[in-house]
Amino acid sequence: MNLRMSALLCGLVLLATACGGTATNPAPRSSSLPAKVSAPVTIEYWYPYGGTVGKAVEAAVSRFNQEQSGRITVKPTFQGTFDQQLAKVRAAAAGGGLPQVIAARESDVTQFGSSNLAVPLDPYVKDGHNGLSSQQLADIYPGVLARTKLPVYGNQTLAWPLGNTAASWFYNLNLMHQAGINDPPSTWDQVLADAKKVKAATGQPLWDLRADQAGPIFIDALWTYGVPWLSSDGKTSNFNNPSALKVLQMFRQMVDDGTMVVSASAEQDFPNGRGAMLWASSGNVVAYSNQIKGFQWGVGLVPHAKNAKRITEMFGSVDTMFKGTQDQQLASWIFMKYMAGAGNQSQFAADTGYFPSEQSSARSAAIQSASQQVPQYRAAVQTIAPYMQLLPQSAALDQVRNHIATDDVTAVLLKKMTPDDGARKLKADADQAIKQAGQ
Amino acid sequence: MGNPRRRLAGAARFLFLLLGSGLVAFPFVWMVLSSFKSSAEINLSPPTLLPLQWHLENFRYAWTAPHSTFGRYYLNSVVLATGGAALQTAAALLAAYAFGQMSFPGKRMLFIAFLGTMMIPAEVTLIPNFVTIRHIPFLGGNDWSGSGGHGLYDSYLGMILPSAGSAFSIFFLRQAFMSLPGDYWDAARLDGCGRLRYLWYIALPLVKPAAATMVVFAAFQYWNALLWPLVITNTEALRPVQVAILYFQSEVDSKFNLVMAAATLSMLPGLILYFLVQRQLTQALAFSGVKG
Repeated sequence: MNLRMSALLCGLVLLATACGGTATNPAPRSSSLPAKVSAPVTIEYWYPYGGTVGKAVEAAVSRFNQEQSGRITVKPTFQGTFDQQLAKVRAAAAGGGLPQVIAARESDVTQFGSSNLAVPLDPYVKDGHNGLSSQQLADIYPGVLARTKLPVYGNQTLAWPLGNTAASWFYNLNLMHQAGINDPPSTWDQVLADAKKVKAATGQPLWDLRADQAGPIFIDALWTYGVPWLSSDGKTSNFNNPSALKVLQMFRQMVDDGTMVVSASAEQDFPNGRGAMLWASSGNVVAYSNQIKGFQWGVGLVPHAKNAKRITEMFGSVDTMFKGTQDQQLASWIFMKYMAGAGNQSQFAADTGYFPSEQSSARSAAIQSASQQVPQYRAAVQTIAPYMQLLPQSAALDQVRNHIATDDVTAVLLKKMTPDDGARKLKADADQAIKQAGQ
Repeated sequence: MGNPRRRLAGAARFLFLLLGSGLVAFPFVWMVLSSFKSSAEINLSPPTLLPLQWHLENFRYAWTAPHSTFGRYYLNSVVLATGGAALQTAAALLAAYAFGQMSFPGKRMLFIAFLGTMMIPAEVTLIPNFVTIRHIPFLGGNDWSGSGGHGLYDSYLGMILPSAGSAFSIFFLRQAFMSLPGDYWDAARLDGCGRLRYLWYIALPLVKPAAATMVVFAAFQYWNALLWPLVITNTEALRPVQVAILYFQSEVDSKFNLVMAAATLSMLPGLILYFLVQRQLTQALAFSGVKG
């Protein structure tokens, strides 16, 4: 072979190597963590779910243990309600015996973070061996991913997805059709118009509003006007926004017209055919599919102000990791990643009626099968899940949402205060609570 | 003329008591009747009183659905109730006898201190009790300083011990001992009887109704315990019946008919025990205000 040919061949080889290296071998992500556990490890998982959800959690853990046989064993233990579990965590934090992974609420995780008990998950999420690719991260619903890394967590990822529900709008199709309404209202203007039609045609109110949920529903309704309850700096509420007064006035007008009824048993009234529409958690879909016999019903996204961004409050819980040995923490992450992964989430969501964490799960066989049994579930996943978001978090959220707003909004609806006075009081009380919580 | 008036008064009293007992009994009647309903029927509004259909399978499901069967939870509750009641009553008898029948320096202050513990809410003592139980020296793999193991965590004794000392039991039994004439002790002492022998052979038989009452109260206290057993245990096979009832409640679909069935099952032993010791209970409550 002559020199020219050799040089050409070398150049071609070099070129092929360079191209092949980039196309078939992407540069590896950093991996400061080991790829797998160094020895068989058992971790404890605490969860506060009974009933259907508890069984689904145990089934998921069983599937994981089978998959990881010989390497990682998860020992799940039921710990009562969320509050009972939190009491146990506080005791164990003082006396020893914390688990490695726990299913908890955002408010719990905030406490775990501030007590330096929770392990930041960012290194695990980005890890080259056991982390998530950009495609996997993009597959997670935006609201679900956002709930893992909050300002109250110090902008660290302290949680990983587990189960998601959201505020939803249930409607009685029989009562709607009786009133000449074909589609559920999507804007507040339509709600007001439909309310009068339903009342005139059926004598029923359009909306049974659950008394102890008046505060959360008000805050969510305000959000559908594009106004979050908390200011961007987290120091004050936005209840002095004109939209807050508008929502209070709208609710009060509906009460005055008899198209809204404040009821302690709203979530029982609806499945018994009273009230054409209901604002409640999507978690009710499975229960209602068993209870509702006498009429056709549907579920969809809550009404919005015209042209406002679609959004609805997300509920549910997350998994979080407590400190342990390197093997325990790695095993915990692998387990948390499994629980949140598309494969498990499809089955878990189908078993519980929760929304899956991944968008691809919505197309899975398990969810398709669940949707055939409960068609409303498919509608909920398609129309509500993409818009679910966590409320802006604050140490005062529980106090403002479940006590202050509930008391003040209920007082307006029961005509003990005018909407103007109610809005002013709500702003003052909420701001004080935020200030005290921050101290 | 007095007779019809007396009859009327008697009838009115009877009616009043009937209404009162109806009000008290109604929640239990409702619970039992609801335990036979389907999950659809229990959510009906307006509700039905009698079940439209009697679903006996609710009890079978309530028995088998929790992690351990209901039988296991029952057994655990029986162990806690009998062991806990025995320990609590034994400790209270000794302390109450000392406070009621003996004289020693600081008796009054010590008794006030005991009474003062009744004002401390259970939530306040949860964490200290947990730390104490987990760090008991030489038990559960712990060393002399209480480190290295888990003490009495996840054990029957761990569930029983914190409530074994009950200020209320001591107070109640002290009243019973104080009603005994001092002459009995004087006579017994003359015959060479010591304090413990006097307590066992003479004083205890005389305060039997009060002691039986405390046994029943203590048994119910341990039977109804939920938070402490949940916190101090991690093994399902050790947990009592009140934890089993929680399994039927869920974020998305609480099956209240099954909750009622489980609650009915959990109530039965207590009901049977009450009927067995009803006479002693009534006697003790009646005599608790009578001075000897």
